Amino acid sequence: MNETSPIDARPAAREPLIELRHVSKSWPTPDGASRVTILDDVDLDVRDGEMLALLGQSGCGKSTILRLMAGLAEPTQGAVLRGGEPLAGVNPDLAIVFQSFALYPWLTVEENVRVGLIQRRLDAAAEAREIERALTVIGLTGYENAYPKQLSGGMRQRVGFARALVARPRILCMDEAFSALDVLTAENLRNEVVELWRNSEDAGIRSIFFVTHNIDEAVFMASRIVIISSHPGRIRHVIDNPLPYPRDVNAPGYAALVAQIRAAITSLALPDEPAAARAERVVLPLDSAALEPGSASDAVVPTTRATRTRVESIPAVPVNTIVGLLEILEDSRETIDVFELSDRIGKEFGETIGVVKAAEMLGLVDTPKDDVHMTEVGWYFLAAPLPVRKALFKHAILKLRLFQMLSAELDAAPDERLDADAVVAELATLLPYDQPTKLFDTLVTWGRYAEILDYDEATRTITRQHPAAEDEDDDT
Amino acid sequence: MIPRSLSTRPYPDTTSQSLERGWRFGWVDALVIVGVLALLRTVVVLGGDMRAQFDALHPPPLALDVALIPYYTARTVLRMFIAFGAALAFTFVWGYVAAHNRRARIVMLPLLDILQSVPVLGFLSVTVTGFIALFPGTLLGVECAAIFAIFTAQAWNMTFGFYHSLVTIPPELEEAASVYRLGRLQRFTKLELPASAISLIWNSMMSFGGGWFFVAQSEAISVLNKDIKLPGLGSYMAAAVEQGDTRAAVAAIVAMIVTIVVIDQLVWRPLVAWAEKFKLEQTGAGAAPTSWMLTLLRQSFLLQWLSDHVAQPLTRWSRHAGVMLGDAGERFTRTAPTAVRRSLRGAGWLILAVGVGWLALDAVGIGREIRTRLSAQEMLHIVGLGFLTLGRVALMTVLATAIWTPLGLAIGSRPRLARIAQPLAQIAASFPVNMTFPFIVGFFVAARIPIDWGSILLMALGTQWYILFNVIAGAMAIPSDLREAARVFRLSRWAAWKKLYIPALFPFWLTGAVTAAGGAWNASIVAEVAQWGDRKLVADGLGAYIAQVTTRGDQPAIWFSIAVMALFVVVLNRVVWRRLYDLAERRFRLD
Repeated sequence: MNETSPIDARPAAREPLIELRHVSKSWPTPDGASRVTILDDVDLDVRDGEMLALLGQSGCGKSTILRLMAGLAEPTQGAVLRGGEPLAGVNPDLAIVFQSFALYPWLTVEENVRVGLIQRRLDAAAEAREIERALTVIGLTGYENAYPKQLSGGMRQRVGFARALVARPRILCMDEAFSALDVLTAENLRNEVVELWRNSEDAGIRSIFFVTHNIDEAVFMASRIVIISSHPGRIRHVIDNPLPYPRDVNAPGYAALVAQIRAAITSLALPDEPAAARAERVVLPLDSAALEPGSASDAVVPTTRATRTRVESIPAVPVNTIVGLLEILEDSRETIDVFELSDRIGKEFGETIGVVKAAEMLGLVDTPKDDVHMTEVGWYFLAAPLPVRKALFKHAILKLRLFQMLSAELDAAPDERLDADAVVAELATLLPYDQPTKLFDTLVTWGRYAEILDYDEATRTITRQHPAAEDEDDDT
Repeated sequence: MIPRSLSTRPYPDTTSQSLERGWRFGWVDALVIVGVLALLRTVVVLGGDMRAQFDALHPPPLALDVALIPYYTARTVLRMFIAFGAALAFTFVWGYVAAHNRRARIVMLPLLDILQSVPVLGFLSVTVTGFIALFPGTLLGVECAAIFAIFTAQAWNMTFGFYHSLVTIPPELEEAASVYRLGRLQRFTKLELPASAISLIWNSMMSFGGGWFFVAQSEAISVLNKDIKLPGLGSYMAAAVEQGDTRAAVAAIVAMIVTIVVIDQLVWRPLVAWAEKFKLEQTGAGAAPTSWMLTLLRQSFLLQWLSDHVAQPLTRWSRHAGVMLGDAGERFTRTAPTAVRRSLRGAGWLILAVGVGWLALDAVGIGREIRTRLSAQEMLHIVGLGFLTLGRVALMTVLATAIWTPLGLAIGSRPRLARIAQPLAQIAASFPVNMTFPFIVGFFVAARIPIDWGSILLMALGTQWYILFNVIAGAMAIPSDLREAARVFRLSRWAAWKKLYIPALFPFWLTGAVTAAGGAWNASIVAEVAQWGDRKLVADGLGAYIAQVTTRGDQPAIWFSIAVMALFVVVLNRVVWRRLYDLAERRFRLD
């Protein structure tokens, strides 16, 4: 934890509205055999009057934190406190604006907003007043009798906000509320939400807690930013954001803060010295004949238990995406950083990191700091014809512990068949922070591309892919 | 002049805008009032008639006057709706509890599965004697037995559908309901009921259609060698056949078809069109179903006024009451001493245990009776008959598939034809084809077709339509790019079937085939035994056996043969259909 920019002197004095104390959360895997840990020892509070952003990649457990606060889920370990008392049932202080809007399609705008009022038990006139006020504040007047399906995404999300406003929550929560909207609409709504919060007298919203994967969104809106890492979700940095509202994207402090957060996230996801991977960096084989499919490169495989140090997970990235990344890198003359890259390929930052990480594990790219550039192997890979690419790929993944183990198990298994469920169960124990089925799918996809294994979905067995000519017959 | 509100509205017109029309009370309202009054009066009169005196030794004769057909039709329709109401109530209770109580679900779902497999028609004799004992001296007992038979034909798939839509409500909609602390009642009316409305209405429609078969059968029953005829269209038909009155029989068939079409137009089409707004997809695309009846009703000022001045205050009141009750309930569960809560829960379990125990004792009693009265040889014989009927059901399914799949594909590939043919197939599936069995049996007799084979046709007549209209639906759902790809790559007819049509139609065919095969088991009870004038044709089969022991009133044989048939159905579901469903889910999903 590193607290930076201690500009705002007040936070410490402010009363926490909801607190997570040493909270961990794990789910049973679908087969029920083991558990996946989503959150690990999370300490977090939302204080009165602040706009708190929880920033992290998708799948890191941000939404789970929000659901714990709302009382929609219960922690496996640790406590959720509301006003110092353990939270029982659904938290009445919260209203949530959902990523998918979560409007009832059979109710009109007005009826949907009324849902937020039910708990307040007002008479008809007071209800009408509240709804009218919320619709005015949120800019929905004239749409009272429309059904959600008749509205654009931005207008639907406004209904979500109006429904949250009439509930008069002490904390307004937003779960990726802008990420299902187009860029322009999202920008517009972000501005309005900041205004709502700043004029809390009108809207009655003093504290906001929001979950996002978007660095700009966090910097633009939040007064405090919490960065969470994934697999498992752990709080890594808490950063106060003292930039004055209304925020100007071009103000000098703004870019600096964005850069600081970017650096923090990159160093979490792509550490400069990945212990295992770096040590066994793939070396370009001098004799390319050795790379012909089915040739001696199998000789690299054997591993002993002694070398089995730490098993590293592999990101769920399709092979074609990795090749696409190399092609983009080939086109860009100079080195490019992860953020430019994610702009260029139009993927969110977290996803881009996954792709880069995959390529790095295969020895195809290198990532000093935030920069990404191709390695020699990468260049060679791009220039090579498909069979050589596959051989290189095979060579590279057989350097990965997961594939080494799988390969060894295949050899040991009677008639070289492995039961998929057994493999999934083993993955779950080896890598408790990963979704084992997802990991399994990636293993199969990579293994198929490298032509080292095959998977029969009907019998749920993994077999070796025999380098016989039959595969090529099928392709023609 | 255009009203201001119309010209400034920033979104398309919606249904709740009808208040803004300038005029008030109109002819539609007059129609609504007349319709409602006429309906009330009919129900009162018919309900009185239900309690008619009944002397078990001299059942009332049925007059074959064609002018009486409307009366008989009304009696039949009333029976259908009472049974449907009961099935709906059952659906709500059973489906709701099964969806919300994890422990209850463990028992409730398999039980439903078994109930679904029990051949209802075989039970008629048992239920009739039970209900007659309950209401001695009036026809009400028989009436109840008939209604019960229809109920059992309707309830199960509605319940399954309702349960399924409850557990597949998108999680974020559930979360929104929790965050805004909707009580149970509001959660039900605002979320659960709307989210399941479409499935509920479609399943109701199917169930109601299936119910006609049973109403026709259960109105004229012979129990303990006595013929009992409830006044109704089904018994009218039976009487007409007995007396060889072709004119009356044809009139009855026409009346049946008209009734099915009218109910479809006045009840189901409006409901389907109205339920459009409950679609979960947020996009408003595709051609929405329409109904002239709904359009008409929406013009009624009276209904609008009632909705604004009666329904809305009522819902607000119930909402507040719901919140208060919910709060009270929550406070109770939070503050009530553990002892009270524990004893309440204990009482619940006790009631359940007593119920289960009672049923178990009953089953043991029946089991003992079966063991003492049925020889092992007889039991084996019954099981053997089961395999014969299984052969018929299988052959029927294969034949109907072979005939209707290509036809269904041809129809479904022509959208305009499909739009006409699909409702027709649905009406054909609703028509209680057992009303026409006597004629077809007459043909069998004339053409010297043995009933052992002819009964396959009889089974198929009622059930093949399910395969047809499901295949039509499947053919309509094949994405056009897949068809175009097949054309571009010049797939031969056989290749196109193998690569495209069979995989794409498979899940739809499966739904149809399961329904058809399930229906065929039930139908075997009426199809394997047939009467034409004095000649009685009996096939070798479990259905015929059940029909015969039912007429004889041989209780142990009834129970055992029904159990065997239910077992056949359950095992087939587990061994064949369940696996095919898994296959369809894994391999042939179009997405």
